[in-house]
Amino acid sequence: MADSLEHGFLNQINENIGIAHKVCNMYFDQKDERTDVIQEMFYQLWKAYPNFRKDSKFSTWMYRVCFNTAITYFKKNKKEIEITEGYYQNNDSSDSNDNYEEKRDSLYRQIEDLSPINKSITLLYLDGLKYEEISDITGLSVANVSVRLVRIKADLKKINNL
Amino acid sequence: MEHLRKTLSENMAAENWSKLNNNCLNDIIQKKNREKEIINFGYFWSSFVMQIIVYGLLCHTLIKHVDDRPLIIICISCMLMYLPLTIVLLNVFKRIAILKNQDVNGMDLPIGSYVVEKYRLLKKFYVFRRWYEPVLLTISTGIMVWVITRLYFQGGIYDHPVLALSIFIPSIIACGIISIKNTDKYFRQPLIKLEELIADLKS
Repeated sequence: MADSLEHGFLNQINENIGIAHKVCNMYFDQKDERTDVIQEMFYQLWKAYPNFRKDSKFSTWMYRVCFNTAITYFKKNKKEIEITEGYYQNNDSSDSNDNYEEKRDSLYRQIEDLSPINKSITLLYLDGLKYEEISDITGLSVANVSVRLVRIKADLKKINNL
Repeated sequence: MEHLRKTLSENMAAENWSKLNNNCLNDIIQKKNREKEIINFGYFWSSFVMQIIVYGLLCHTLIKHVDDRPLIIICISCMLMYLPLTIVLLNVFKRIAILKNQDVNGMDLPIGSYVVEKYRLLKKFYVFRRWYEPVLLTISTGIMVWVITRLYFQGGIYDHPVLALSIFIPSIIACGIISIKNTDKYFRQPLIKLEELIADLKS
């Protein structure tokens, strides 16, 4: 029973493992901190897994646990950004990847100054989630998510124009 | 941002994250369980050491000075007065254990609900601690000063008020500083952080 639970858990986690890494990269810039937080995320996911009800998508549930863990750990002390080091990633350093990573890192730097909640909305939006799904994960209304995204886009535009 | 969203979604599949396996998961669970046990025990013992010292001193005094009737009455009265604080403390530990479980289960709540719930529970403990700590420290230090002066200085606290104050004041200041630092680290700062998140959610 425990083995099948563990097997099911690992399968689902591995299908969505990028969620944990992306949330972690969004909030934490130090390698050691990321290692610790991602382990805490897996631990919290494992502890909460027996309560996972299949009335929502696994990815939605996983986003919630990962964001709540990140917000609990998140401190405001900003340090040197090490985003390009790509924690736990096996990078193929081809030219196209370099270009993509450059864009991704540039975006991560720009959203560094957003509030923790707006960071989560930005990540969910960039991950291609619908407003309804973002609302489900954050607990904000769809209208609020929409308004916030308009503000975030305007803020990022301002930063780009500076 | 729209362009980046498109670029990111196109390239997201290229992100080759390493997978989590059985051994890795078991290692993480064991490591995190150990870490949490250490934190829980540290918190438990740091709160109990003070009480153990007080009860130990009072029991020792009762046994050693069994003929000193006023001292025995005071010691027993002090114990009875102190007992409710111990019971309250034990109840708080029970609630902390429940809070920890709720905390784990509450992890899959939407971010907004999670933040509000965490704030509500932490605030409850903070309010209790703000009342509990000064009372506990004052009573404990007072009892110890009274017993020490009664046992080792002829005439006790009434004949040596300056001495009693010179023990009481530094002791209460030292304990107070530690208490304020702990409250700040474990309650006030996290509460400020949660208040900021709640304000952000409401904005």
